[in-house]
Parts: sequence; structure tokens; C-alpha cells
Amino acid sequence: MNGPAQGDFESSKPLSDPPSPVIRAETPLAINPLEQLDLADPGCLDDTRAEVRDGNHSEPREHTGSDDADPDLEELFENTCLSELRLANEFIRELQEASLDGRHSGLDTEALDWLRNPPTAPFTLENQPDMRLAFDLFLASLKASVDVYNTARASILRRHPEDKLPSYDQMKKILVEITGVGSIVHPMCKNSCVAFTGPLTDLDHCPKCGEPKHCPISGNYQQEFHTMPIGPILQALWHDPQSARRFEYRRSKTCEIINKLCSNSGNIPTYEDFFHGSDYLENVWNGSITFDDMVLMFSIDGAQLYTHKASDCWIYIWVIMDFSPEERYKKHFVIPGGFIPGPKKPKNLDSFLFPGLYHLAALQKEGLTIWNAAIDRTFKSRLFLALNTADGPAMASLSGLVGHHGKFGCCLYCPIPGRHKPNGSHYYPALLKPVDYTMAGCDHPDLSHFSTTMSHSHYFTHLRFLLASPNDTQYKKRRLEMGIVKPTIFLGVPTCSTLGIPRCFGSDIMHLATFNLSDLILPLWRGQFDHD
Amino acid sequence: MAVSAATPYLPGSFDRPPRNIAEKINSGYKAWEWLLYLYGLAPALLFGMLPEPYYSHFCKLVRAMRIIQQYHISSSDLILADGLLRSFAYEFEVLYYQRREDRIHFCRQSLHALLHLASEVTRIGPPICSSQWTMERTIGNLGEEIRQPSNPYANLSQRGLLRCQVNALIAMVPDLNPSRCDSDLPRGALDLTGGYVLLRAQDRYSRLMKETEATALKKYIQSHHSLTQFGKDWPLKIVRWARLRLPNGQVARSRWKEALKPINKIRIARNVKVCFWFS
Repeated sequence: MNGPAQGDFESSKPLSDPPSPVIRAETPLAINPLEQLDLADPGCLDDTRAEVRDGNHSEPREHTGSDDADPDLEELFENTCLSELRLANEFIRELQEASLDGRHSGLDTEALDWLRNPPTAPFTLENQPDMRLAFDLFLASLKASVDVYNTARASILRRHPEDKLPSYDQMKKILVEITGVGSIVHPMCKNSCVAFTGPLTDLDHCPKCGEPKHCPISGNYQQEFHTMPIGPILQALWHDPQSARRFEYRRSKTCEIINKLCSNSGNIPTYEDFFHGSDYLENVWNGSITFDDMVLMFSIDGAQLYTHKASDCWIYIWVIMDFSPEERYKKHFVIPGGFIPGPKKPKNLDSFLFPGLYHLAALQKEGLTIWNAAIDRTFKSRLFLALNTADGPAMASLSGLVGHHGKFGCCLYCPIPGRHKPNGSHYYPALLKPVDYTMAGCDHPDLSHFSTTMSHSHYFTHLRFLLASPNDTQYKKRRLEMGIVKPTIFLGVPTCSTLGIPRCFGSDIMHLATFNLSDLILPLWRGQFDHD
Repeated sequence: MAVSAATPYLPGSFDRPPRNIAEKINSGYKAWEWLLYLYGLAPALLFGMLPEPYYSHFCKLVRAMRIIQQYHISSSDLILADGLLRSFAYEFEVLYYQRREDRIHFCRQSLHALLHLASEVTRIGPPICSSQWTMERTIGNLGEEIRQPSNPYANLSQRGLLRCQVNALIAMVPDLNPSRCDSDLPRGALDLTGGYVLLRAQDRYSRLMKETEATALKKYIQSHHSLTQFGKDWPLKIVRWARLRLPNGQVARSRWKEALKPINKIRIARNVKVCFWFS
């Protein structure tokens, strides 16, 4: 790029058509996808523009009684009037009721039996040379087409007709038999509005667009999506001594950290992993995470499958934090959790995440039976859902907080309010107060950059206030002031098996350090910064 | 220009080198390119180009980000990064936004997020451990497996299920893993132990060191070891090797073979930082 001359910093002159870098379809600073609540940017000033004076000014009252750290959700939900919020509450309630035998579990008796009584003998292919050959072939042709496997198989059979090599389809069945890993299929709206799961299971038509669930001619589901239950995969990962020993990383690291803390007067000299963070250590301290448990990270993102065609597809994965950082982010250890077909964005993400989270919550409550092949021991493990990560817009749909243009737009739910322009509806977190600036609600004095502290304790008080909105007008107003759009589905996960809301939502360094900051600084240097 | 001209000096193990930013800024500059550009090349390329105080201001961000994106962050570095990020955010408001009502939109959430970066490390560890790189990579390697454009979603779900099953199977029968053959050394390689492996090409015959080479080696050995006596077979006979695999998996090349190629055909990989750890 050309070196910016001094004058280039005068970015106040409007540029006719400022080139806004299109990084990819899911640019984090793109429009907020929370379309399910008709407004593109919930929590920004458009909310109050829609407001009709109703004189019903109220403030959230500090709730006395139950402890906010472990709130009684039923009590929280009881005054909810608006249907969108009630639906969100329903999903959370169903999730709280989760059990492996439950209505939404989707597992047959065989799969259930596998989860509760996994095989306790090592699996080996040593005495099955044909099977071994078949698997070698299958894995070697994994990235190629089915034809490659079939052709190679036919060639071998021509030379050695006595070999028993299964066909490709038989191989897929054998894979399920050996690993116990399958998928649960659920119907969804053809336009990706909702999935017919949880409280929506019995509907025959999409509540958003009215499309029927079944195809009127064939009677099949119009569109379906797959969820891979995590339980059997985790069991398989313990099913070999070498693989089982990978789980020891977290145990030995945790011991190492605790010893270090003891010898170093409670200070951590170097942060090397999630386990060095205070949130993890506190949960180890209070017994929520034991050495038998497994710590998981959830991550979701939308992907455009083809560059020039609407082909949105949302994918979520599980990362097993028990493995060492050198291994856990690698292809062979990252576990796909579910796929949400497009081509449009899912309007109600909760309904698509529900089957996967239901399975997780059920396992968290009941405990997952594991056979540790390394030491031949069967035990119950609880799955601790440590972090949920996503890029900016996807994170807003996960956490149920307002998007980045909201008055309280910080994705970590920090209590710093933004400011908006006289005619703009978007809030920006400028800490210094502009000169000659009077604006109702956001002309607070300068805030310090050097003393911001984090607190999450106001979340439940604010959520209670939001849920109790008597009408849409009040809801929009409260949404603006509270910075919450809806209760997040992760409220349904057992509180002792997660970091708690909103602490379990991480921020994403990748998008921040690359796209977001470059998109901020470079246009300023080049005098091409976008004007509202 | 300068950005793409730097390509030959970035080793191949650094993945895609940043393309010319002046031409490509609008055509999908990738995250990795931004990373190398913003925090690697820009501080050098913009020196003398970006006037003060903007340059120094930018350098604060670079220093802090170089710390915060590490897998290992020491407490003292973290405190340093926290201070730098906060003062970067403060000075950003002073330098760019200047308390001007019409510039409030300069202060994006991405600027605010910097204030939390360091304290989040103490809460949930280094941010790289919970970054979206994994997710993006998974989308990439699942996406490229799609074989059926007529119904990509169903095909993708099938590939995802297959990934789960194969990962489970390989965990249960580790020696099925086809990529495990990587650990075998290529033909003619020499394992030096400790994670170092010499890789071919290799001189066919050994030859006596030149006078200058022998002096240089002697000086080096004397400065790093207490060894002062050299036997009477000094100067030694030597054999040149083209490449050395490092314990971190990267491959360093020697000047011997690298110098034979034109500069625009290679990605120089002979500048290696060696750290000695004494315990």
C-alpha cells in the first residue's frame, strides 16, 4: 500500500464509495443475524424509536432472596408474557429435564445400552486380516470417491476371490457397530427457520413461514439435519490404552498448576492453557470438575459453502480440552457435533442446538460410563462444558446478548455503556465524552480506560427484568437498557457442569486480531473510513 | 510491492505469505495474511511511512498482540500487554476520535474488546486456546471433502458423521492411522536425536574444511563450550547437508542448496533462532 501522507488522517471528508473489505460471507462486523426478533440490531437505539410513551417507567429491582449465582429459573420465567421469550424459556425447561430415556433423547435401546454399558474389552483387528485389509483400503480412500474403494476391492477380489472384503455400504454399517457412533436425524423447516425439536416437536408447520414439515406428496421430511451425539465418541476415545492416556494431560497439568500455586504463594508465573485460568481452577477447587470428568469446548460458525451462491451452512464442533494443546485442535481429535443446512441462516438457533445439548445435559446429569483401557477400570465421568465460542454475530445468537451495536454491546457483558450519534441508532463504546455532547442516556462523563473491571453479577437481575416485559414496547426498551435479547439456551445446562452465564462465553482472538482491527485501523490510515 | 516482496524471506512453514496489500485488500485478504502483515511486516514497512505519533501508537498494539497471541504468556508480559492495550485504546480515542461527536463511530467494539483481553487471560487462559482458528480449519477441511454439489448439505453431514466414526475408530485402533507413517524418516536421513533430523541432499564425498571455515567453526566452538584443545585431525573433514528438521517440525535449509535457486522461487528457511535452555 502507499504510505499514508499526513493529510490522509483527515478522514472526515466523506468518500463517495468507501471500499469495505468483504472478507467472507461471515464477516464479524456484518449485519447482526438475530433476525428472529425482527430488528436487525436489537439493543440499539431503534428499539426506543419504536417506543410509544406508555409512562410505564420501571427499573430492575435488585432481587433479594435467592442467590443470583444459582438462580431459580422457574421463578425467573414465571412472569414471561411475550411468545418469543416464552419459546426460549420452553427450550431451557426441556433441557433442564433432559435424560437419556427422555422424550427428546432420540436414542434407541441399543444405543442407550451402549452408553450405559460400553464394551470393556480391547478391540483388535489382529485376528481378522480381511477386516484389517478392508479398513486400510477404506481409510486410504477416505478422501476419494466411493468408486476408488469399490475398484480397489474388486481388483483384490479378482486376484484373491477367497478374501472376504465388505462393500462400501457394509463398511459404513460395520463402522457403526464397532464405534457405536451414529447420528440422530431431526426434521427442520425447508427454509431453515426452525428445527422441529424440543417444544416444537409436534408441530406440522413451521411457526415462522408456515411451510409444512412433511412433503405433501412423498410424506417424507422436507429437510432434515444431523446431530452427532458426543457420548459414544468419548467412550471410543478411552477404548485404547494409548488413546486413553491422552486424557492424562489435564490431570497432570492441573496437579502441576496446583503445586506451582502452592510453592509460588498463589501466583501463576506463566499462563499456558485454559487450565491456568481462574475459572477452571475454581471449579476444580469446589469439586465441580474432578479428575474423572472431561472438559469440553463448544464452537460454532456459519460457513458459505460456495463463494458465489447462497449456501449458508452452520456447523458446531466439540473440542476435548483434556488433551494436550498440541493434539486437541487437530483434525483427528476435533469432533463435529452437528450440521445445520442452509441455504439460509437458521432463524431459531436454539432449536437446532437442542438435540446436541439435550444429549450433553442428559450425560451431565447421569454421568457417562467410561471404560479406561489403559488401566482396565470402569467409571462415571461428568462432562464439563467449559467454553462456548463463536465469532461476533454467531456469539450474539448463542449468548442471547445484544449485538455489537447495542448500548451494552460488549460480548462479555461488561457494564460499560456506549454512546450514539445525534441521528444514529448504533451505539459505540467511546469512553471519553465528546465535546458539547448532550444525549439522553449516554452523555455520562468520561470513563477510564485503565480501571475497567469485570463483573457478571448483574446478569440475572437484568434477565429477570427483561423477561417480565409486559408488552413489546416495554420489551424493546428493556432490551436496550439491559443488553439482553433473550435467555440463552445454555441456561438449561446443569449449573454445576458449566462456567455459568455469561462467563462461559469466550471472546475470539482470531477475528479480533485480524479482520476487526485491520478493518478499523487501515481505513483510518488511508483516509477511507466509512461514514454512517 | 514491499509486502509481496517479502515473500522469499518467509519460510514455507509460515503458510501463505501475505499478498500485496495495496492490490488485494478488498479481495479476501485472509486472517493469516492479516496476522503476518499487521504484527509481522507492518512495523517495519510502515517505519518512516506512517508519521508520528501514529506509528508509535500502532507499535503499542503490535507489541501487546505479539504477547497475547502466544500459547505461553508470562505474568510479567501479561501486565505489560495489559498496559499497552489500555493505553492503545485510550490514545486511539485521543488521536483519532478526538472527542468529536461525528467520529463516535470510530470507537468500535473491537477497540473495547482490547480492554478485556489481558484480564480474560487470567480467567480462561491464553485466548489462542479458545480461538476460532479450530472452527475455521474444521469448516475448511470438511468443506473440501464435499463431493456432491447437488445436495451439499446432506453430503457435508455424511462427511461429518464419517469424520466422527473414523476419529473414534483410529482412537480404538491407533495403528490404523494412515498419517502415522510420517514418523518414518525419508531415505538417506540421519536422526541426530533430540528431535533433530538431517535430511538430504547430502555431499557425496567428504572434504577437508577450508581454512576460513575451520577458523569460523573453531571460534564458534570456543565461544560456546569450554573446549579449547583441538586434536591433530583438525581441521576436520566435512559433509554438507541441505536440510535439517527441527524438533518443532519445521525444516530449515542450508545456503548450499538454497543459493542455487533464483530468489523468487524460494521461501528462505535458513534464518533460525536458536535458544539455549540451561536447567
